[in-house]
Amino acid sequence: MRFSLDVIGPDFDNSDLIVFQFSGADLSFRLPDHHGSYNCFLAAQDMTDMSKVSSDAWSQHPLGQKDLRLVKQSWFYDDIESQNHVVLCDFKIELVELAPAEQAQAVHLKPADFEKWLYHHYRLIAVEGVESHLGTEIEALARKEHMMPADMSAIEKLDKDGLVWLTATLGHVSIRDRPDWRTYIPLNESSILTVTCSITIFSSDHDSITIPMPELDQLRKDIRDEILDNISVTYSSAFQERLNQAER
Amino acid sequence: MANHIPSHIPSARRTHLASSELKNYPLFSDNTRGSCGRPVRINIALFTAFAGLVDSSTSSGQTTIRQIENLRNIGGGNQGGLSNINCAFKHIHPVNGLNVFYSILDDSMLGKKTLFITDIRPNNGESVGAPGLYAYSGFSKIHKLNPNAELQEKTVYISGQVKNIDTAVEKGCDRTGIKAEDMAVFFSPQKVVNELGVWGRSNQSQITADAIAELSDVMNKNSKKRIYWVAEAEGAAILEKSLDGVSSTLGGFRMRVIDPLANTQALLQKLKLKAVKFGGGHADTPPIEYTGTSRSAQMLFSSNAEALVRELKNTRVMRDYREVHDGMVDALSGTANKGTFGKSKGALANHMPQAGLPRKLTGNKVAVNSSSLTFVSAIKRLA
Repeated sequence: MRFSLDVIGPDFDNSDLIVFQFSGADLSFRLPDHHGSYNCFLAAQDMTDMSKVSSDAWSQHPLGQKDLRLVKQSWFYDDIESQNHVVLCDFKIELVELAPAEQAQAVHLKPADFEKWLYHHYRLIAVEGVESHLGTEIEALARKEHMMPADMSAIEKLDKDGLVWLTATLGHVSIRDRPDWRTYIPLNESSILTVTCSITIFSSDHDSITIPMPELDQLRKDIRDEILDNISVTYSSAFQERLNQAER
Repeated sequence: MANHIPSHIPSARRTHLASSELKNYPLFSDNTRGSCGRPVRINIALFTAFAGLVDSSTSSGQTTIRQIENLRNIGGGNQGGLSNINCAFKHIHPVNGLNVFYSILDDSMLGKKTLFITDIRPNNGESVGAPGLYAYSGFSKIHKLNPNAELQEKTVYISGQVKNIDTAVEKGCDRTGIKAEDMAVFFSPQKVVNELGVWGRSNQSQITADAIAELSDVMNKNSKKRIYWVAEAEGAAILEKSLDGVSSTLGGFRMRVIDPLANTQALLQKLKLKAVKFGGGHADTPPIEYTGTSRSAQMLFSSNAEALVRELKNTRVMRDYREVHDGMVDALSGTANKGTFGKSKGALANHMPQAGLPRKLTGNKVAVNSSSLTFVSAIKRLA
């Protein structure tokens, strides 16, 4: 696709179609070729029986969730005229198994609950799990440093495949001036998916000195939107029924 | 005021390369002898870096060579123009992945204004992030700068040229086989990397000096711990420089070096003095490894092969790694004995006329020194 500022990206329509099958839902998306100096990663795509996944593959989050990496890949966006790489996208999808208490409360099945859960989850990330720091200066400072959403309304909501996907920003001032986007997608009774788009503009032809920051931010956002547009989740009728019940 | 000459205007003297210097500048290629356009010469000291960056057997390498040859027409930035002819300022010309730095000076041997290439640098675009130690945060699941330099992790990856910290982390995971959450990364942005490694000849900027000082600080603060270090490419150069700032011995450190773009001999000697152990990671990976995938590392090795093989033979590695280390040293000494690199570079130096002998000049008529070996011909002997 051709973006603003004469930047062109990979051809998603003709990229590999990847389908992950989970119990209750299928995830499908187009994956452009990997360009980067590390080895890309794509997990086994039949995940209907999670007990078959090695326990080593999971990593434990200090707040109780367990993460399993599904995809890690990166690709470039080029300046049309000079053909120089000007933008790098590091793309990651992880399966997150919610903590048992979160599963019991089905925090992810009702959009309003899901949003509240995510906002609180980010607050806990900021204070590194120390609940007594919530609401203090420590939390405020850490949230700023991590470039998190300022309040609930800053979490983006996207109606997709009959559900609401939530996107929040997360980064750190020591890494780069713009945070990553993490999109949270309900998957089944126990799990959600997170899609991380880390979009770095690094060419001096496309920096904030020559191009105003809002235009660069728009380019980042357009690139992210194309990636999210291309991801889709289809739910089994049984899980769809469960979602409808949660709504009521 | 009339006598005031701004300091940035070069004097006539500076537009003239001393004849004693001229011997260090062979002609770039057969197409740049000066019979068509301006002659192009290149500093012989760039031989190793050029050989590492440009593979003359590939179409990309040949494109680079053609683009540099074309400098004969655009010297000074003007297509065939003469307005810039007396300017001794350094110009920068980007070609296919390289920045070429050159000046136009009088060439007493050819009796012509000649284009002298004084430096080349890889031009891989910018990278993002400050240099320093990055540690994993389990909560946010990202590596962020850890300013206090205290290591909780048992593995540190020192990155070479990468675009950002994420790429450095992923590459570190590939190299060490260790999960991102168990690994700290010492990251250096492109600017630092460009000033080190094989390319680093000119002045270092503050950011590079700071990066080196910071790695020294990390090693000093953690000198009593058992830590597995993996340094790759230009990361080895940062390591080599920062060891000068380490006061104590580092007996608990285990070290692996991959495709070093550094003064490897000096690095190994400094590590030995600090009692660092060579090994760690899978037993089938040599502690000092040439993977064969980095042309620059291969060329840098070849340029000093005999001394390096000697140094590697005198390097005692941890017991589990002896076999694989010896195997690699044997393989390397096989390539060192061929000596193609030394012969090529030597031939190039020997072909250069001695200082102060512009004998082929008769009046204003330029005699092209057709017999001399050019830089590119010597490079092609390596392919």
